[in-house]
Amino acid sequence: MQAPQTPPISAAIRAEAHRREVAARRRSGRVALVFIAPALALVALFLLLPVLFNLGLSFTRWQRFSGLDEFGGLMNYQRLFMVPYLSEVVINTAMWVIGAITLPLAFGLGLALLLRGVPGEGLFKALFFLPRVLAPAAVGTIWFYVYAPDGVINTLAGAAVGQEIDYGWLFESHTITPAIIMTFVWQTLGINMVLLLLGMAAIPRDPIEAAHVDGASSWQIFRHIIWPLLLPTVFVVTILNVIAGFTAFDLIWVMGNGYPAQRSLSLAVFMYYETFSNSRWAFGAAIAVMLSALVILVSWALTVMQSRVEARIR
Amino acid sequence: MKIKTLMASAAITASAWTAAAAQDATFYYDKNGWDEGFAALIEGASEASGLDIAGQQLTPTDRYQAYVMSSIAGGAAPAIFTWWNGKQLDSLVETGEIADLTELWDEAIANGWFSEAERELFSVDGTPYAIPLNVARWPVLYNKDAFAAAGIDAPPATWDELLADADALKEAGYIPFNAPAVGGWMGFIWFSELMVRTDPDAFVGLTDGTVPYNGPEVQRAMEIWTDFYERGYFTDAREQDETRFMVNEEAAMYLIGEWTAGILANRGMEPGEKIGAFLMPPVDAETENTVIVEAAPIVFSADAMEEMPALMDAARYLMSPEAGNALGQANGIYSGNLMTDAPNAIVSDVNAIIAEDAPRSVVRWWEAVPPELQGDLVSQMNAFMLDPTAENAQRVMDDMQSLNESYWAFQ
Amino acid sequence: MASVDLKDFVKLYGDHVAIKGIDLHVEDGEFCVFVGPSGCGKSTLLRMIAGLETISHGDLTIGGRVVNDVPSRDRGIAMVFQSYALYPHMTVRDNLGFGMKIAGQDKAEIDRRREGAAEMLGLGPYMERRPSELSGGQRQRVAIGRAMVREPEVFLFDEPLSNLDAKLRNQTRLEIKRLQQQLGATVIFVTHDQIEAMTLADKIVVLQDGRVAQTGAPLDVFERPRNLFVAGFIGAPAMNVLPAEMGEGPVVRALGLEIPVEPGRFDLPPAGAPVTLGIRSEDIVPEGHGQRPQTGADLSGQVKFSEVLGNESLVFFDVGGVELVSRMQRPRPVREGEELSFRIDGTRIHLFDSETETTLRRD
Ligand SMILES: Nc1ncnc2c1ncn2[C@@H]1O[C@H](COP(=O)(O)OP(=O)(O)O)[C@@H](O)[C@H]1O
Ligand SMILES: [Mg+2]
Repeated sequence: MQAPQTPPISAAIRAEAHRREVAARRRSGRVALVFIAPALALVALFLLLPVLFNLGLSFTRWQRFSGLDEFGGLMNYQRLFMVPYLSEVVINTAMWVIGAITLPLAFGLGLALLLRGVPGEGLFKALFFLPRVLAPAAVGTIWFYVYAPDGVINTLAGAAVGQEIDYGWLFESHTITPAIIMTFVWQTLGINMVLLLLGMAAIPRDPIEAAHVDGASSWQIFRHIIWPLLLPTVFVVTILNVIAGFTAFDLIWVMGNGYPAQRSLSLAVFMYYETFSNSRWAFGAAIAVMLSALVILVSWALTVMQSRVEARIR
Repeated sequence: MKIKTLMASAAITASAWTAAAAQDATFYYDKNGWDEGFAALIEGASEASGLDIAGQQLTPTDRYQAYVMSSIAGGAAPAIFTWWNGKQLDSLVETGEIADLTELWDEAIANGWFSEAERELFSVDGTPYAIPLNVARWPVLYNKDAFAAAGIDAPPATWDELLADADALKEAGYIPFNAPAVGGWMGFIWFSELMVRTDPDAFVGLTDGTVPYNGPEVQRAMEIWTDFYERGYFTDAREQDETRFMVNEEAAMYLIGEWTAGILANRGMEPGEKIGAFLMPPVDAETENTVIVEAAPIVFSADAMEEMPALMDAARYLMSPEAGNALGQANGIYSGNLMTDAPNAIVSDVNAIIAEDAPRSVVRWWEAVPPELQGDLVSQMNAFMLDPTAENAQRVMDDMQSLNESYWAFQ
Repeated sequence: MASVDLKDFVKLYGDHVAIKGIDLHVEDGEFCVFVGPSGCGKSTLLRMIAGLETISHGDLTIGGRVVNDVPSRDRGIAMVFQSYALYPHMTVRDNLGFGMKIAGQDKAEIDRRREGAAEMLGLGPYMERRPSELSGGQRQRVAIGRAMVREPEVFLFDEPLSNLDAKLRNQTRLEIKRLQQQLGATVIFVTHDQIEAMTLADKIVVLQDGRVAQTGAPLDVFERPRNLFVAGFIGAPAMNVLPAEMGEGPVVRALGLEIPVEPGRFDLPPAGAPVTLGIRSEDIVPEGHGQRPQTGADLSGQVKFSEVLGNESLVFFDVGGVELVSRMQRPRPVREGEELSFRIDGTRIHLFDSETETTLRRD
């Protein structure tokens, strides 16, 4: 049996159809605009404008009270590469980014797997999440004293080895960044864990059961089923962590207060230090532009990867 | 020109938020913990001028500076505000927004309130642009009980005596000097003092680029500093409570601005009874006797002064002995006015020492050094305090010099 | 292949008893269907066999081996899920190969089995696609293929057809049956659809509220429902059920009729005792449609409505306030309100004890 032949659609009908589609889209577009206009205005006023201002500032000669109107070209950007301790800043920032991505993710994932379905799960989750709701400055202050020469860590370590330890974790160049990163991990692993748990909850149970029947061990199920299906969530968490890592400031500002080379502990601190402590606004603006460019680039790359893996499992 | 207009409107918006009430003038300051004193000053200034002056504290210091700078960049300088002297005052005055106070100073000196030495501290190229909020000398504060316990009956008058006293204090179980490195700025204290005690001219030369930070003059000071650390003269630089070792009497001496007398008094160490002061003796007998002076200025907007001539009456009041006494009583702060009562025994002790020895005054390193170098250099000094070895001293000196060099090369 | 034995199976979810003591024997190579209304415990029972749920009480024997504490992967079973449960991030090829790959099978063997399954199920053209790029029927076939390549002793199916459209469902049903016959596999198949159960099963297990209501061959269960529940559940439309009373003769009195009863077939209560009468729709024959039953009773009723199915119609009619349904072979259009005459086939009636609802049949 053959389907009856439909007559060809005439060009006039096609044109009419197109007109109607466009009109409908335009109508809904206009309605949408009305709803998002206030948000758009706020974003423009409080986000876009300062960003543009900052960008402009980074090309001026402004230092303290003068030079705002003098175009400096790339002067401030060139100056960045003449900073003698730039390599320290870069290394510390890299440590931050890598540490901030991997450690909270690893610990958060471990905890999420560990806590899934155990009795008292909610309580544990709340406990691990708690540090997140504390202000970073408060967290920094607490941990400053935990790491202090006569602080908890040295006291415990001293008791363990049976001799007095007064190591200055936050005063030594090779321990300060790892120490602050650990505090950051302590603070953020809770949110990582909660996001990963949400991601896991969204994974259907069936493929996991199917894998059980298919003969997979717990590790194989994690490796071959849960992990690939969790990847989109992992990417979202990673993007948040990358941004947090690049922009780490409060904790370093508070915990690195006694460290002489505090300004080189991260790009964000370096930016703040040059802008406000040193009053080199244009230079600070240039650092801010570079930092933003870096963050945007990396997050963009991650977002692209995220949408790829997401598409793969849909 | 657009960017400037934007800046101005931002600053004006900000000031509208911070000081919303309608008044004639606002007095901005960042000094923490002097609220009572400022309240008294502002009340007196209002009364004397007939203007309605409001006080506005902005902290922390970086935010305060950012606020003032952006206001001035936008052409709307605050009417009255506190600032820093030395190079900080120079660049502020360069903007042309700050009122010339020559007549007022002439009057004040004629009244016997101040001497030419103080006028010098608040002048740029010979013209005074500021009045003193506070003038503080930097003596060594010492614990009288500790000295007694170590068998020391008078503060040291020579370098050898200083060393002997330090050893005696160690013997008696004290750490000779409290030397904190809190807040990222305290590193310069001993560096400057040892420079001044070995070569005051070189000290001044450091701040204008004529003396290198790794030359023989600095080498010598750093050697002494390293040596003092080796001898165990200093407290742990990692301590974050700057007066802790003084208050718990583990340390006996504290090289610091005389305003610290007020802080120690609040923590139970009464100036005069428990705490005394002396000027550190020079290392060599032939070295010029010198005192480091820190001066905090108050400045006025030239525009505001022109619009409201009565503001000059407020300035006159702020320079007066009454204002000085009000601040002294409220917060133990010494304005430098020669006709005020010393707010505490430390200030009167230092007044007496200076009257007798007539030492040369030098501006504190922090104010004397170009602001762009302050942070970079002091962080090196702090780094030395955390790792006070000869090797690190050399690295610190070289690093400071390379920073210094590149700064001056840019000028 | 292997037989499966369930001995006194019980499943507890906390205080809730989902499976209430089930004994069952599934022959080697048998196609066994669990059927019952939603929530009666079919999936639970199947998942207990699969090793996805612990067995709260009782023993599971597969191929003569007690496997209560043996993990799924070592039970020699494969399962096809209602939702297909394909690995969404893997291609069809990897879905099929996953189990063998992690078991460390060698490549040649994996390919051999995979190709075999793909060919049998016609999956060849889709091997590189991911599940999201397949239609429902194709996904279902991948799920079956994934079970096949395991070469299990026992196949478990949990409502594998319920997400397919009617045509595809019939088609796949046939395919499954044919596969089972080709492989000679033992299959346990769960469905809530009694037609599916009837068409597929060698053995039907009717479940009711966590218990077995009846076990038997499809026709057996259809012809001789052991109780009212099975009678109502198996067969569509549901059997007509009405209160009745025993009369002398013996006859059953209902709707003012007297239907003669073959005395040897039933354990009949004394005259005057209440019984429950069950008559399937095809045993109420409209006048002029199909063969007129020899013994039985005549009645007439008013048509309420009819469902036209093409080759037959279901006629719902009213007799003195009781609604009955009749199956009209070679149908003609009927109007609402039309008076029709019917004859009940007295040799095919079902009688149940009014109290216990169990059948009164002897066999
Ligand atoms: N994980 C569980 N926890 C508690 N009760 C459950 C669970 N799974 C199933 N049940 C209950 O067990 C009974 C049987 O469920 P199930 O086997 O899924 O029914 P079905 O016959 O529809 O497949 C139902 O009453 C259901 O609510
Ligand atoms: Mg089910």
